[in-house]
Amino acid sequence: MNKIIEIDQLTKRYELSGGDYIDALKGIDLHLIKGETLGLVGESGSGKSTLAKILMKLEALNSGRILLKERDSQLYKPKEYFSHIQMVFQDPYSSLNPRKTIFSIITEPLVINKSLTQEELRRIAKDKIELVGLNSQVLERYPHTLSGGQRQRVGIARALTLEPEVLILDEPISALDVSIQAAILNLLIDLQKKLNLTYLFIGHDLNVIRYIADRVAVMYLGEIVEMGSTDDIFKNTKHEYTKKLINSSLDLKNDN
Amino acid sequence: MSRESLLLDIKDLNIFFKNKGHKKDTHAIRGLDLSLKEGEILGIVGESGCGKSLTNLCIMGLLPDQSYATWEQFNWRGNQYSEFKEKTWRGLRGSEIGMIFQNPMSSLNPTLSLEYQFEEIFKLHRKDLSKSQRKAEAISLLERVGITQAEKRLKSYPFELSGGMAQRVMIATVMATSPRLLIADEPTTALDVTIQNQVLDLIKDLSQENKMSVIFVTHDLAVVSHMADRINVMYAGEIVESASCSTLIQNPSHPYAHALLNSLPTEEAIIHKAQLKSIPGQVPSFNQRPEGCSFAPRCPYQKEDCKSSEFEQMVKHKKTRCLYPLNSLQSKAGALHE
Ligand SMILES: Nc1ncnc2c1ncn2[C@@H]1O[C@H](COP(=O)(O)OP(=O)(O)OP(=O)(O)O)[C@@H](O)[C@H]1O
Ligand SMILES: Nc1ncnc2c1ncn2[C@@H]1O[C@H](COP(=O)(O)OP(=O)(O)OP(=O)(O)O)[C@@H](O)[C@H]1O
Ligand SMILES: [Mg+2]
Ligand SMILES: [Mg+2]
Repeated sequence: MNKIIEIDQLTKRYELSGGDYIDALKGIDLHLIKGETLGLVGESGSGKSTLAKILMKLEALNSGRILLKERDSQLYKPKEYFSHIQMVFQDPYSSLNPRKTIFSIITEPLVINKSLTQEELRRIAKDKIELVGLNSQVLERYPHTLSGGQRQRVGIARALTLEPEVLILDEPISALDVSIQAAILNLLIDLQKKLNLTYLFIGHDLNVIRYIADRVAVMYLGEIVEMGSTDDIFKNTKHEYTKKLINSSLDLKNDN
Repeated sequence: MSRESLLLDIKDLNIFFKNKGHKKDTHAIRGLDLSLKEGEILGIVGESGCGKSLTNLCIMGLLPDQSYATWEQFNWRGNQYSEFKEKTWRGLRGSEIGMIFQNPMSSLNPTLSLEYQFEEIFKLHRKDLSKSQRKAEAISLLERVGITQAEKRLKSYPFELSGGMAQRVMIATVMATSPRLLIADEPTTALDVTIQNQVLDLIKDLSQENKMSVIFVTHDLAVVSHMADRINVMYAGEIVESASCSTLIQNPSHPYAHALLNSLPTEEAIIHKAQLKSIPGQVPSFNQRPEGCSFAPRCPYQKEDCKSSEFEQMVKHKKTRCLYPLNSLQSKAGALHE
């Protein structure tokens, strides 16, 4: 079993204004196997985005460690680290730099990591933006002129430009209509098959998680309370919170 | 239905973006009619980028710079508005119309604690409350949207909240003003299903208890099917179908509405990991709409006259913007993708 990411006893405490604190992560153990999709679900505020942000080095960890390809993440140079791992952020509004055009936002990771000509950058940007179902006209525009779902797709296009081996997707399709959701899910699965990518997929839509995830981890109050194959989690549910989640899931109302 | 029972009645709303230089303005929202009874919940679904948020911002009098609106009729509680007067609208906004924005952070002040933000709202809208009552009310509102340890949370700043918490705090601040019309733009996208249901119930209760009307924008068809009395389906800046909730879910008649429902992951697709059905092709941008029906290039049922210049005349008085709406048999059989 090829573990591309291993997380060991990870903890994170946020100090709050007023001397209080919150233990957002209370000793997380988790690994990602190369080529798989791990679905991460859980209560709002249970620490999913915190975990993702620590993996992306946007937050410092308090204790524990993260191995990327069996090497401590602290030992990587940023450039090298982020050529392996990229993220699509939960909030499509604050995660795009408002002063940059969509073209520069999408090509930024490439500019940092590779030396390409302007034409090559144009071609890749056009490629990626069309891949997520947007018209290449938007490349010249600024984030504030895009709708929520359009911004979210810019975030996906950006994360894909480097074709990183590991992709963290924090609610990547929550702002999209179901037809585009379907197209993006098909795209993610396609890319995964072609390039053997590994996904950490954070989401609230249990049908989407059942569809895309090979394994599922359930978080509750800073801990992973249940983890297993997707089938197992949904059929032999053990933890009370997971049961509650599954029972609360709404289906299309089809009566009267 | 008598005119007086309508809270909001808009006819032929058009929204444009101004372009630089001599380029023609971009016609975004086209000929939109929208009416809402007291206590009614209207769902709006549609393609990402089709203009749902833009329409709502217009109703709030908060259109972005570079854009402007025209209408034949804009009637709010029996009063006609022929133009936006910023002052009138500032009065309505906040006291009579409340909006849950798609972007929660946009309506929370990042530099103020939650307690302070509630204070500001209560000072404007709930002058009857004493200081200690205001705090108690804030705590109770936070609890109603499922925030635990609410008293401790009042000291937090917006950046200290998770995505779903920020969304709920914003909902609580809007509820604090008891609006007549609640515009909820994707209010539950960041919430896990248990908390989502709690928030949906809260919105429903308030709508029933206080006769609050709701415009509910969402991509979650299951959610809208449980919430809405009526649903408008939008595509490329137009309402293509407007129907009661159960009709739309069970017998959609516009091919776009039908295709949208077909894109949901089915039990079978989940089990067999089959490709999901998405609608082929792309939504046209507002300045590249084809002549005739905007959906025609992607529609499996399109015929010659769908692309004709007479299309507009031919669908003018139809309920569904389509020359060949699906009959119930077709849509039940899922004909679109067979
Ligand atoms: N910058 C911060 N400062 C202080 N507390 C924070 C900060 N960021 C997150 N928290 C707290 O950490 C906890 C976990 O938040 P996190 O964003 O990881 O939740 P989440 O599982 O992603 O929730 P959601 O599903 O709502 O997005 C929450 O209690 C939150 O209030
Ligand atoms: N200055 C502009 N010029 C041309 N088009 C613009 C301009 N500003 C915004 N737009 C377009 O107007 C539309 C606004 O749509 P709106 O935000 O209402 O979409 P939405 O239906 O809410 O979508 P979502 O579901 O993704 O939130 C988008 O397609 C956007 O690209
Ligand atoms: Mg989160
Ligand atoms: Mg929107």
